[in-house]
Amino acid sequence: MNTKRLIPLTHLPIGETGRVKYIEDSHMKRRFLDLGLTPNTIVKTERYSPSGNPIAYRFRATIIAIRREEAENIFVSR
Amino acid sequence: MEDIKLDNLENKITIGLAGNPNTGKSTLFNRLTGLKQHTGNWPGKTVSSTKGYFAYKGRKYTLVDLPGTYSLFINSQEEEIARDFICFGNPEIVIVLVDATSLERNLNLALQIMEATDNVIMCVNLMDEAEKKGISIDIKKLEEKLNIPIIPTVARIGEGIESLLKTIDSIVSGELKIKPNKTIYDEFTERAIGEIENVLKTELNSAFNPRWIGLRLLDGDLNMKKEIKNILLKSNSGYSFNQIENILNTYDDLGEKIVIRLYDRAEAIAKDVVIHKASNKERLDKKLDDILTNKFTGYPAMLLLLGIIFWITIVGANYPSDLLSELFFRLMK
Repeated sequence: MNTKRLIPLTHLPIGETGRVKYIEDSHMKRRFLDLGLTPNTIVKTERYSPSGNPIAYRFRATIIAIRREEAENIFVSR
Repeated sequence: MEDIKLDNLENKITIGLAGNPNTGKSTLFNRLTGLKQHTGNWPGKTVSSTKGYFAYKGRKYTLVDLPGTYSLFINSQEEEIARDFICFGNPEIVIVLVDATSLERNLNLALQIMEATDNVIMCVNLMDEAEKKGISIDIKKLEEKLNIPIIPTVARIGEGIESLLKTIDSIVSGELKIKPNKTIYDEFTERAIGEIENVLKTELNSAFNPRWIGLRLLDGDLNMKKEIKNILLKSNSGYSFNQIENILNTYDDLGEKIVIRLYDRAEAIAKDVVIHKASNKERLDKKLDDILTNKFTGYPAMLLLLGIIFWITIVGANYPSDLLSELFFRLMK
């Protein structure tokens, strides 16, 4: 369906944006949707915390910190 | 829930106050009721709902401060409290407080509440902060899109409170009738909603909103399903419940479609009513964040701050303490 390769959100470098394409089924999937991470939402990696976990992402004009383990389940296209 | 009904018996008009976490709900609550409820700058502070009372133009009101939520779809206890109150608490009016600095995400909850009840007033709060960040909102246009009264507020200094009270009064007196522009879903989802609506319409009394209950059931809300099952069994309508179960089996898992549609609508509305101007206020926040969360400067900054606190408690506190003892010593003389 998509010729571009999908990468997990954790692989999106700081300052770069991607489009949400797929979220792995888990108890957090619905939570992410409710927070606005619906398909095709544009997400930007904003910054890492000092230890690298959690990571702050900007989407829909707000910044939200997501744990690395959970961000790995969100796949984006660049 | 019981005591909320009792208040209705005392001829008080119940108003619910809903909104995302950290939008200033408790501040607005205190403004309206004069209660000194503790306000804090962290999400999830109001885990259960708090009630307060106020009077305006000879009418008495009960204001229920609902926990801050991003949605009414049940993911957490807070969302369940907010949802149950809006659905089964029969509030006369629901005030939705939204954050002017991130309208798009806040609209998601507002759109959900507009599905549950007609008498919705939206307060666009933190207008001052939005302005500092170079964001302005076309209130008139937003009002047209949603077809509900919209009031720009700065709850912290009481701006907009008077016009909020006036709007509440004109709804209660019947002067103002609200008919929100509800979200329309795709054909498939609408058909499913319609089928459930038809079953519920004949079985439930008018206090319930069959469209909304239908949406929640299609969303896979198990608590709602249990609740409806209990109500239908009590009125000997077990057959109707079977019908609903059949419909739910035919239209499998529309939950994601529903959330996506709500966000798409929120995005489209925000695009039309939010105006961004250039501003450097955010850059200062960003610079501080850069230093405090950086791998190399973050930990030293934390140690430095801790060091200062240690110094104050161990050494710095001696100075005021010396001054005090000297003062008392002199007074004794």
